[in-house]
Amino acid sequence: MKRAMFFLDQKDMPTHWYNIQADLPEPLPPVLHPATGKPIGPEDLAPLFPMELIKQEVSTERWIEIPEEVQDVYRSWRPTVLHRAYRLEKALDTPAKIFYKYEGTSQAGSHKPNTAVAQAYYNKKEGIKRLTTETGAGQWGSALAMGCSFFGVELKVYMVRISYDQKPYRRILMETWGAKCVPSPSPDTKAGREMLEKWPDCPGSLGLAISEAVEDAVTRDDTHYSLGSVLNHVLLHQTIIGEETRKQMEMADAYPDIIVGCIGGGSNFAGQFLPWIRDKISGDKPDLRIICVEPESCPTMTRGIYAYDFGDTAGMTPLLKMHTLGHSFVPPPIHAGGLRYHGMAPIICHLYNLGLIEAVSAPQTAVFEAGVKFARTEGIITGPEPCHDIKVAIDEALKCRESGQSKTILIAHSGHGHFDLAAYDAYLSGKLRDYALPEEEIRKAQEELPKVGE
Amino acid sequence: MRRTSKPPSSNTAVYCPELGQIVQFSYCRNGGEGVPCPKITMCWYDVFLVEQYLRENLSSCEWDKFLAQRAKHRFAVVLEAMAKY
Repeated sequence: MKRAMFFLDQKDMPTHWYNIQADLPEPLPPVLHPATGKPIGPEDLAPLFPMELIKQEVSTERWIEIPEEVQDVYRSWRPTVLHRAYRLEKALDTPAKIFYKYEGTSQAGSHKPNTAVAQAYYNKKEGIKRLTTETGAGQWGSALAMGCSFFGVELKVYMVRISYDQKPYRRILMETWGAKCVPSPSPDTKAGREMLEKWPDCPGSLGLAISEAVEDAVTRDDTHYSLGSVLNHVLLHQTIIGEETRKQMEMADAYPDIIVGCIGGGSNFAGQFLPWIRDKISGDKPDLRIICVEPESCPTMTRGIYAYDFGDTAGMTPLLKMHTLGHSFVPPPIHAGGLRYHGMAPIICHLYNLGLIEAVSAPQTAVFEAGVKFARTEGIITGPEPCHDIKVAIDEALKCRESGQSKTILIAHSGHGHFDLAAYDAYLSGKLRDYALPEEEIRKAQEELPKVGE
Repeated sequence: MRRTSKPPSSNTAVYCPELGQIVQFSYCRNGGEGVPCPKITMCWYDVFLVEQYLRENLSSCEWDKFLAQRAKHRFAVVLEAMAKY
């Protein structure tokens, strides 16, 4: 019998998150405040986040214990299954062994609850009764709603009004889990009221929803704010994915030659590869390849440069060191929701800069073509973001077919695409197109990066 | 077919990666806050010459505002909002 699924017993679920900051060959560059040019400290973050999360944000402790209460909740869907993609391998006629760790079996359908649950717990523990957050179509909002429901924390989600009106399904999920979901702009905040006064029918934006959620949090003593991507502690909480996978790959008597994942905020992929990269840093597995996949139309890592970039073009917001195409970059089309950031998680950029991970880009039509192939072989309708992983995994598997090598490829699969069917529809009806940026356009944008003393 | 700077009809829509849903050009043009969405040139690139359209139809003040609010990192937006209150 060919074993296609590797189940980790719940008693073997990892009890600690892995903190890459303990093993970085060089420390992570700090986030700088644009006014002072100095690193942002805990006191800057205290109005929004519980102290335990702030400590995790800067911790260099290698292992951070997952609180028993969080483990209890994790066990309602974890460990997630590691799959061997035999049908995909057969369809590709490749000697490569393809595995994928699938996070789509969480109640919210993605990896997001791994940090949502932890964040709800730490806030509850520090006496916070209420959280706020923002959401577009609702993936993060629904994950946090679930997390808060497990710990009895009240949640208010500012959902961009156009999504609130036109895409109600995740709103219904949030409300079913007990969150209060309001359309943004709302009359509940100064930012919302000002916008409604100016434009009563304003359909909202993610930026405005963030402003409302943050204002709500900082103006109440019992409330904090929660963010589902980018930050170090968010990536930390996701490392349970890779720690589980290490045990499951051992069960499969395999070790990955290549790990692939999509990068945006980067939390799912980081959660998978950070626990493996320590083998590369230590020199035990120098040949391990970790491949970040990004859209060909917005190649921040493959063709960007590593520099401090303004978070916004007005220069009013903090500086984060990351791969960037420059602050005047006008990006061309892309349809993968999580891969849309001008910058991404600083940890991922740092590791890339250190030469520990590599990056490739993929055109969007090929990405959806890969997603369809995966659906027709493995049965899973994949979200647009993890379709990028699948595309590159297929490319690597096809290289194995050419070379005759039997490499082991591990895909970090962040979740299903059941709420992204419109994107599939656009692909299947031929409405998606590809565009690759000319080098000249990228060079011009890079010349406009702000100068920061290092 | 050669692209022009004429906006598409109102029944043309694109997938908005920011929101995760299909939207019409009118939403992107107003950006939810009255300024074109920072990603408008990305999402509508294939449909028509959107950057040229914006240059032709925005006042210099609006154009500057459009450029100034572009490409914000999510964490930067959070801290910017926090600083206001």
